Amino acid sequence: MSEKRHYLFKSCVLGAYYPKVEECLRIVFDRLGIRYFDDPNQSSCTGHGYHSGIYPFKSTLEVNRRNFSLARDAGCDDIVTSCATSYATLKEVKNFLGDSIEVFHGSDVIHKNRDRIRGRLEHSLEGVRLVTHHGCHYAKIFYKDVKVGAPEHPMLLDEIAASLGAEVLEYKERGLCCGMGFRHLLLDQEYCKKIAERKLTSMKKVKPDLILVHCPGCLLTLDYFQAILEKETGVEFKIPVMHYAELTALLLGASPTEIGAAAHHTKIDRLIERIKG
Amino acid sequence: MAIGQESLSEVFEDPRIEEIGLRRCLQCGRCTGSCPATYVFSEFSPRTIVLEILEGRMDDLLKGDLIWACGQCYTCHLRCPRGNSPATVILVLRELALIHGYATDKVKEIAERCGRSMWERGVNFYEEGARELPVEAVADLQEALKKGEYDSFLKRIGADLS
Repeated sequence: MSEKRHYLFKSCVLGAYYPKVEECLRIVFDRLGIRYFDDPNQSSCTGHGYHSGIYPFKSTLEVNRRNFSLARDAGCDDIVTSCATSYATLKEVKNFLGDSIEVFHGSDVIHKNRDRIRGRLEHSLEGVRLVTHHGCHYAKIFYKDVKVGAPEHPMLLDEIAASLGAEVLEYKERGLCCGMGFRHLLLDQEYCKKIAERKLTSMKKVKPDLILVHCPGCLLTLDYFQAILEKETGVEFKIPVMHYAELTALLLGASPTEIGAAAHHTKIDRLIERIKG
Repeated sequence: MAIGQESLSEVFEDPRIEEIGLRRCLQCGRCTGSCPATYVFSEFSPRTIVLEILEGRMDDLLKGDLIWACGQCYTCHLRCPRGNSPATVILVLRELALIHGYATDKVKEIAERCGRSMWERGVNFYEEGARELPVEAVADLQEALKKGEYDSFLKRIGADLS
C-alpha cells in the first residue's frame, strides 16, 4: 500500500442512496491523517451495470482506463474503493490492461490502521454483539488476494470489529451472498428477497445487535429488504446494518447526522444511542 | 450457419474466456451445488449452461431467461476445481444476448436506464441531489465511452439517448 496519497474511489450506490456513508471513509482518513485525493471527475467503474450484464466489457475497460489515468495524474499509485464491486471491477480491468496501479478496498486501509484507530476511539463497541458479511466481490473473485482469514471465511471485518471492542458471532450462512444480485435488484427482486431472507434468518438465530457489511450493495440489500420481508412473511428482523466506514467514523466521534443515520431503512438510532452512552 | 453458431465462436474469442478453464470443465456440478440462484430458480444450473456451450447449443441460452438468473456472487468461480468461472461465462453470454437482440425488453430497459445515467452523469445510479460528474468531465468520459464502443452498443440495443 502506497505511503503517498490514495485515489479515493467513490461508489455509485452510496452516492445515490447513502451519500453521507460515502463521506465516512473521508472522515476516518482525515482523523487518522491518511492522505487521499477526492476527484470530482472520477466516474463510476460501471461495476454494477457490468455485473448486471448490461454493460459491455470493452466499455468497462475504457471507462476505467480513464479513471486510472486520472489517478495517475493526481500522483496516486493506488486506488482505494469503498465498494467491493468497484474493488473487483478495477482489479479485473487492471489485469487486462496490464496497468501497474494497485487497487485496495477501504477496509484493507482500516484493518492496517486498526491499532491507531483503537487509540483514538471516542466510543467503543464493548458489549455489542455483531455478525459480519464480507462482499462476495471482495472475497470470491480475486480470492488469492484475501490475506486475512480465507476466501471461504474472510476475517477482515471480524478483526476490525474485534479491535473496536465488539463480540463477533459466527452464523451458518456466513458465506452466502446478501441477495443483491445486480440485475435482480434492478428488475424483479425475487432473488433479492429469497436470498436476503435466508441470510437474515441465519443471522437472526445468533441474536446480533448489528450486521457489519463490506459493500454498499450489501448495505442496501440487507437494510432495505428487512421491512419488505417483514410485511410479506410476518417475520420481524429489525437488525441494524452498517457499512464498515460508517461504523468506524461513528466510533471516532462523528455524529449520527455526519454518518447519515437517517438514510437507513432499518433504524440504527437505538444502537447509536447505546454506543454513544 | 445455424443461429447461435456465430455466437459460439464469439464466446471463445472473448478475452475473458482465455483466462478461465471453460474447456476444462468436468461437469462435477460443484458450481450448481453452491449456487444461490439455483436455490431461488430451480431450473437454473451453471453446470448445464457450461455444458450447453461445450456442446455448441447457444441458441436457447441466448434467447432464454436462464442466463439472467445468475446473481453474480462468484461462488462458482471460487469453488471450481478446474479454474472455470461460470459467472464470467454468463457475463459473456449476457453481452452477446443484448448485442444480437435476444435479450428481453425488461433487460433492454435497464440497459437503457443505466446507460443513460452513465452517459449523461458518469454514474450507474442517480437520485435527486446525488453526486454526478461536472459537465467538462462528462464530455471527457463520453470520449472514453466511445473508445469502448459504448455508443454503438446502445444503438444496437435500440436505446434512444436523445
